[in-house]
Amino acid sequence: MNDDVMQGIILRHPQAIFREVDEDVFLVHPDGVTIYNLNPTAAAIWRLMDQPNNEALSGMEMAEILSAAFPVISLERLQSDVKNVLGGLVNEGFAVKQ
Amino acid sequence: MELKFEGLKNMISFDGTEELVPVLEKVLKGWKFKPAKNNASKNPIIRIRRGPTGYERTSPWLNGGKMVLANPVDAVCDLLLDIERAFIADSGKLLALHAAAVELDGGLSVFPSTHNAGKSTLGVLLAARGARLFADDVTPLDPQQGNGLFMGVAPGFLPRLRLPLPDDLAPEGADFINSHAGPKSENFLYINLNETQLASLGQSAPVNRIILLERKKDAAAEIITVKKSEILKHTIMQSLNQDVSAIEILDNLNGMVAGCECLRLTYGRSEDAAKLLMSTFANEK
Repeated sequence: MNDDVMQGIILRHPQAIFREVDEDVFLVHPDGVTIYNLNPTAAAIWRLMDQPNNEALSGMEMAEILSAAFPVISLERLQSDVKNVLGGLVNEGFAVKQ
Repeated sequence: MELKFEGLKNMISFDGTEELVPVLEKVLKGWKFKPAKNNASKNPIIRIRRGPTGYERTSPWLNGGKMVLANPVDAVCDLLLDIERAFIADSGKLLALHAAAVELDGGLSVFPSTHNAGKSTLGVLLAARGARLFADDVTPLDPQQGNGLFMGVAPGFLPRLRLPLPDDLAPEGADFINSHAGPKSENFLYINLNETQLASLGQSAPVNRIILLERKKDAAAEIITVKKSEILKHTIMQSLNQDVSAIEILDNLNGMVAGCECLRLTYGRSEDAAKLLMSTFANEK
């Protein structure tokens, strides 16, 4: 799963609704019942998922973009964060593998 | 005996438990109720009967189970939860937040519930200092048809303090509580407040401030601004509506938070917190 998450394309679930407040994102699960709160790091990754399907980013590409934005954080750390967030979003039903 | 409450669509049935009614009368403010003409209601929404071990209550909110409490004050205390749920459900529009609400400056300061925060004690001490308490446990909210104005609505219940009382209460606070003591059990003490100290059922005021409470031993009372996202997170966690969709809850609470001052109050002693709130927002010298 983890290699798929980082090498493949993960897309937002089409029925996931979200709202942005400050740097956070609040996600409404496709079940219509549960609300999740993404912290600023996870929210940044969620925003990077907002690309047209043919330009969607892989997890590795997201980590590289974040690394350019946050050069003080190691690439390995960012890759780990991206892997955890994308894996969590898929497991919880907010995202799907392309 | 079945009672018909003004504002509730269904009766409440007291089956051999009529002695609870005088206790109920003491803790309600602004509610009107009377015995139903005939015991002919097919489906009272809430039933309380005498069981072998105490007062047994059933309601739609107990998921097919029943709540049994031996003490009459505790039984009434728990009954109020269902009365408020019925009031909110029957309104067709009110949201419910596990929070206290106090009118300080013409608007409501709402205190979402946090563990061991002492919001009920703080509410009573604010009333002792001249503020008007709206709710000490659950605050109904009226989204006012989505125009961004949220009104807090008083549920019309006396505040209830958990016993034992905090052992660091200052003499003035302890004196106020003792001199306003109402119905009591081993677990709870109701506080008698008058109409200037406690809003009656249905009275409303605009929510203009949401304050997270953080109680820390020996901490000096301090108020700081916090992010709206933090307040929104806490209010979502304290949202009590079971029949409202998640997106409606999120959008309504986001709308309310967007129009409010968002703060955190850290304190050690409840009196210090009350004094700071009154001097900051209610022009108390």
